[in-house]
Amino acid sequence: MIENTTNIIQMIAVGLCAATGFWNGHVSRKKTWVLLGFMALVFFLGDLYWQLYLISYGRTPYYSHIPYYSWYASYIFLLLLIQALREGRPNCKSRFVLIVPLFTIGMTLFYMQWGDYVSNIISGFLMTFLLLNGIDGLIYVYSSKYSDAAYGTAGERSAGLFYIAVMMSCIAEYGSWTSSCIWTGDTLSNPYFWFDMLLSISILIMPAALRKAVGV
Amino acid sequence: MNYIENIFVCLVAPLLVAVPCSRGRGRRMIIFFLSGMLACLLSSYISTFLAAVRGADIFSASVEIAPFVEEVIKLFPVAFFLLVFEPKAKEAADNAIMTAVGFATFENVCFMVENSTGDILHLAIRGFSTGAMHVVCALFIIVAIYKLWDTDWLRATGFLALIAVTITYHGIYNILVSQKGIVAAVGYAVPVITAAIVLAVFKKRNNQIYGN
Repeated sequence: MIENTTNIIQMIAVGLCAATGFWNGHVSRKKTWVLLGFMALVFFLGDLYWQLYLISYGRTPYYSHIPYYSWYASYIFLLLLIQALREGRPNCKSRFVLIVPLFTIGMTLFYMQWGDYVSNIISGFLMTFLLLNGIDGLIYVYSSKYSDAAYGTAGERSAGLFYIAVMMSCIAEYGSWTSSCIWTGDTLSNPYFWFDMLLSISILIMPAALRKAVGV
Repeated sequence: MNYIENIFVCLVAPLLVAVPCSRGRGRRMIIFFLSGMLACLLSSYISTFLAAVRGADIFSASVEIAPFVEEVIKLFPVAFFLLVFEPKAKEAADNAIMTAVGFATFENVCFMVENSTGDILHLAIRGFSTGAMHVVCALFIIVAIYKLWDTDWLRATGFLALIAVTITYHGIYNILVSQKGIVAAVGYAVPVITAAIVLAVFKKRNNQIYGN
């Protein structure tokens, strides 16, 4: 029951995000909005497939990973969106980002005890790139070292909230994956549902954050 | 039991004769229509094989295995054309549509042979719906061709992402139409509505793309 509720809340959140993205993309003709629309649409399709399957057959998909392809695709669109936002800006040189691959490789090895190898490796790769880009973006926006830098764009300088939303979504994904390995049960005491809600909130924040960065 | 390879031979024979008799764009259209039908035949074999290997029942095969196999195989002719001949975007888009139409046509013929041809209403609904679903999936690929073709990395990643969209969209369609009553009706309506929305919203851009 709670899984259905959180899934439906998440579908509403990503549906709103997709509608906002495509509408603003249609109005402004900006690639960043279209990519946000695609990111949310693909996520929505994955959620919809999962939910329909669950309602129709009372179990989760077993023989293939169709919804996972969608969720991977949404990460890819998010990465493309970040690249579009950066407009070719070189990386900030920070040793702090070295922690990311250590974390993601460790977590991938941990998840491999439960899930299959291929999907965990794909998730690990995509999350590594998302976290690297998210942390790099936050350093660029908030570090005084780069405030007078010649490179970068005014849009990206206002993208602090967007990068916070990206980081929130990554944390929520890792939190929900880890919870599903350790906890079971369809009650609110399972942290999985709370991380799922955090993911929905982070996706809801993205249109407002992108508006602040690139306008409409 | 259906011998779909026999149906395939019967259907492609006149088209194969037409290939050397036609020229230019018309010939290319026929070839891509044929390749769509061939993709459908191969998908059927591969889906059946994977279902047998994984011990899936007919339902799981149709909603979990078939969408993945069909969308990937259907992409091969277009991907081959794009990578080897490096055509203009407009030509590649037309070919993606023809591949989808060929695929849907062969699928519909096999469906008719298996389920009789008595109920015209059901056949018409299914025919339009399946056709629209495959065309919508081709439209997603066309978006990739037009919008994400500027750089290599964008091309590769964007294409992968849009294939995932088509696979999931196809899977959702198969889940809905495998139900009964209103849910199946919604399933049949979804591709037609999606195609109408896509064409209405992007009509202006479509005209620009096709030079009308």
